[in-house]
Amino acid sequence: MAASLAARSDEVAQALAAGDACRASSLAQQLQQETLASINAGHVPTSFQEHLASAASDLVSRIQCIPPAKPQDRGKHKGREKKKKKNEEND
Amino acid sequence: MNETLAEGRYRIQRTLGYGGMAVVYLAHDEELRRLVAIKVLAEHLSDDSAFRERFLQESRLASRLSHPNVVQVYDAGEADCRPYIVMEYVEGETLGERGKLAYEDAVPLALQACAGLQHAHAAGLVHRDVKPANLLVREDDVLKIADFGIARAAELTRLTQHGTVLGTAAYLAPEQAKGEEVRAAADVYSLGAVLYEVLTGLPPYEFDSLPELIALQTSGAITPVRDLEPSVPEPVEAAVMHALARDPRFRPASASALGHELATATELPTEPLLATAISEPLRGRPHQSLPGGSAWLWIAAATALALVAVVLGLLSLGGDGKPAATQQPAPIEAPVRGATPADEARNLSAWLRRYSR
Repeated sequence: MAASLAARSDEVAQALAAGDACRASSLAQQLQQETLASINAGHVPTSFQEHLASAASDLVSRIQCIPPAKPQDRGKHKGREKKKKKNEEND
Repeated sequence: MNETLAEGRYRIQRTLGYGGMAVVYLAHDEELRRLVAIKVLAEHLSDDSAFRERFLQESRLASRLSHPNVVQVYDAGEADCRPYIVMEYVEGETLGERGKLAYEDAVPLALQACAGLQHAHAAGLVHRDVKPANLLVREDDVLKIADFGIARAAELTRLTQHGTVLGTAAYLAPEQAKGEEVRAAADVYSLGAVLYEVLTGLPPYEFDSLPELIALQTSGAITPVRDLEPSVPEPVEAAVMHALARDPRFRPASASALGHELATATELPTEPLLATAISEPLRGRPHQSLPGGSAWLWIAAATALALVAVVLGLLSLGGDGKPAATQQPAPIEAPVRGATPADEARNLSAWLRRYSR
């Protein structure tokens, strides 16, 4: 179990080294889920649980997936403006 | 503020309170037909887009918690570029509003806080801002911890440095006050500080600035609880002072370990309160106290107490089968955080391999 989590953690590091923050973020979330599942299944000794869960959670929170802007994204901004305007009308 | 949020789903009824970070409203959920509390981020903080996103992200993490002693987060969203969180409405008062309490009243409340914190810590969430204002107490003495995730959001955007977000620092663990890495042990310290104040009427340290607090936490002594309030039994004092250890490694190993120490430190009839810490008969629970109730209630409470004792015992047992309260601190180092997320991932991997041998 520990080896599997360690391997997943290595994958996160590799994705970050390759500049793929979004893949790293996804892998980190998988790591967090696998960590919690391992804890819930009783595979992690109590004295390790807090450190492990906190580290996995911290890793997830530190990785920001910001997809590169694309030309078609402009439409989304317009949509946001439209939504904002609609909200203002509702006020 | 609009009269409704989320396209009319939540109808604002009145303001419940103001804080440095947010305004809290009482609202009616028109869809599920129940009262809810809605925390709307203060306007000056809403301008910070990073904080706004973090606020919502942490709220979503907190929404995964489901425990009778944690205020449930139902929903989160944004209105007029101001993020809001929809939460369970807890009718009652904060622990701060209750003021100084006799240990017979304080310890059962602390046990519930331990149960709520333990649940969150097991899910990987650290509160980071446990203080009397975040501990809500209903009329039937059920305690619920509020604002999971919010302090985390504030810390990550460095807003706490201005002293406007966390409010009082009196309950901050030494490592937290110094800006070091914060783990679940910080919540254990904070709960110890809250309990110290509830029992004595004074915070562990009195200070005028954060540097002064750090200096006191580094070299100052905390006046023993019983010097200020002699009615507190020695074992209760010992449990509180154990939680207030400077070094996180010398505190109770977990929130449940602190609960275990407090529960064994007193012979109070805490069955009903402990029972609420692990089950959810809260809304249907009669407001009368158990001593006036019928025999089957006592049997149910005793069964629940036995179950809690087993759970707390299991959670606090170390590898050698002795309770954590009497153990030396486990020499397990936390994974090194790392300057970058990549470093942190590598450190975590190395840590896992080191301890799996």
